[in-house]
Amino acid sequence: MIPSALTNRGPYATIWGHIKSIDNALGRALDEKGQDTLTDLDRNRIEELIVFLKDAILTESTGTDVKPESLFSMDAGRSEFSSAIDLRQKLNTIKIFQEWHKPSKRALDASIERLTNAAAGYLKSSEGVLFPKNVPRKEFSIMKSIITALLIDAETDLQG
Amino acid sequence: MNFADDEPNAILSKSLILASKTVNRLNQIDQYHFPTDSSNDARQLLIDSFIQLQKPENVIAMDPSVLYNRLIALQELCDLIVQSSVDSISWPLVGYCDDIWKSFFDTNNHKIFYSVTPEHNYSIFNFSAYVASLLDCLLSPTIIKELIKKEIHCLQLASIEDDNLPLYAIIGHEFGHTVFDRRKSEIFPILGNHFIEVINQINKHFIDNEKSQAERRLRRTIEVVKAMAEELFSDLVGSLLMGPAYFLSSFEMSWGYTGSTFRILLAPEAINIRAYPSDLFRLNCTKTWTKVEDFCKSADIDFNKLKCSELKQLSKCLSTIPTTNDSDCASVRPKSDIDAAIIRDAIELQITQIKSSFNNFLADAAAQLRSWYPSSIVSLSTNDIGELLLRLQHNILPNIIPDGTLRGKPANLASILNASALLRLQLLATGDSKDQESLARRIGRIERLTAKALEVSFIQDRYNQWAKD
Repeated sequence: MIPSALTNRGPYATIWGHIKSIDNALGRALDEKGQDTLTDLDRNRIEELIVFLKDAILTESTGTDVKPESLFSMDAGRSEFSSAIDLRQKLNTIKIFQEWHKPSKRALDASIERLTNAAAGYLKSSEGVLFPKNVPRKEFSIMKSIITALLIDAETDLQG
Repeated sequence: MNFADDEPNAILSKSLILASKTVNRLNQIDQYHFPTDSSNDARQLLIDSFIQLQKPENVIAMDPSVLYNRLIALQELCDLIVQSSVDSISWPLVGYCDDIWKSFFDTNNHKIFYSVTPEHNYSIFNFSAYVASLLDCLLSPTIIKELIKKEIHCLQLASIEDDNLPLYAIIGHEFGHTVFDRRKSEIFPILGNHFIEVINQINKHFIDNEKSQAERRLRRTIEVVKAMAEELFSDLVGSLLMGPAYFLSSFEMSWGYTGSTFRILLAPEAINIRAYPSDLFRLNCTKTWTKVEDFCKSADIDFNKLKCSELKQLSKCLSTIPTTNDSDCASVRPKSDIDAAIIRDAIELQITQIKSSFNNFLADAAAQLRSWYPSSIVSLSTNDIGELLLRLQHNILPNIIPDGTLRGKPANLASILNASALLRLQLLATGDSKDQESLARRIGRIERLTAKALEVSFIQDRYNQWAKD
């Protein structure tokens, strides 16, 4: 059998779809394919990326201050798949991210916060604007490198 | 043309052709074959979704690969609409299901339709929520919200329905999943209260192992606990709706498993994590909530009165089903998941406390269910079941319970299922394997009589309501 990502219905198809659509939205924001409009779907995908990065890095604690009862609440507003990915570890292997993060001597949390703030700022400033001009190109390229690395993992899981 | 650049366009074209074909296919389904009107609501939701997916203003921001992948997934849902047909689903039977559904939910906003599964089993899922999840990366939340105006659920019946009738009690469990889903905001705090101690211990285990991973792992473990709670809660609903027939059906469903393993299937998305308490623990809980001990005592007296020697044995057989679960362990898959081993260890260390917490949770949940749905919970009469058993043994439709009048009173769904399940399991367990033909004839007769009794009593009940009005 020749494995096909397009027709895969396995347990990893959902996460693959999420990551791939975020990758597509970032590509569109960076105008890689000649498009210059930002749709509601693009905004939604970038918002999901912000939530994912925040959940995976910024809200992660050491477990000592966790209140179990709060974890049983209906909706903690978290990304669906952030708990399954050890992003902190993954970031160590992403060259483009490391080349940007290391020389700055910022803590990892601060670097991720900078990325999410840039994305959130972009979404806010582009509200109601059809052709946004202030794309934070550097931060979006870094985020795209993270998403591409996760996409490769998701593709491998998809075939596994 | 350059395929290196045009690949997304080629995938998009392929996707739009598939979407268009699927709309045609959905439009061609003969709606007069639907067992209930709700199948049409499900079909319309799919057609509306496909129309949105084809609109140029929506297509522009979609990733074509994701679009094609989701269209393939949506095909499975179209198949369910095609299979939602009176050719394979008997209307009187699903009429009972509709009645139970109405007793639980506001049917204007919560619909249920019926289809089949190739499995020898039953399952239920939130059809509209699943459609929404498949549209999630393709359409904006506003469009998805406009599409999903009401909740539509799909109950999948066994495709060889007549052969699966004795397991009909499992439908009670399936409805339990929907109740759990609808009442999560009330159920989770109850669950949380009973699990604080256990979760603190598990968290300590994770911190001792690797502090930086502790919270992430704890969050996943809590999803596992929630998934197991959902199964047990659904068992509870099945028990309260169907009585000992549910206990017998659960026992039959557990055949083939060793029975003492908590089975956990991790997934990247929390919503897809599956977790099942051990069959023996589940049976033990079900035995409690179907009040098997009380049923056996009462049946012993009532079946004796009916002066049938075979019935005497039946009154005791329920208590012989094994439920001892002292040697339970846990298995977590897939092994490749980075957290599988540590979550398994944490659960095994706390397994006794976990079971105790679940028992306490179920006691509170049962009280809540009784207050939420007082009219849905059946009270069974062993005398009625004995009368139906007697009829079944004499190859008479088990649809009437004698009440001194000429017509008698129509038997309800739970009583018919209990009588049928008891007799069928006794025959299977004590059947002579050398005389297979005779056994097959008897079992076949019971199944046909049960199916017919369910139909007749349903129609009789409808007639009585109509005559009264």
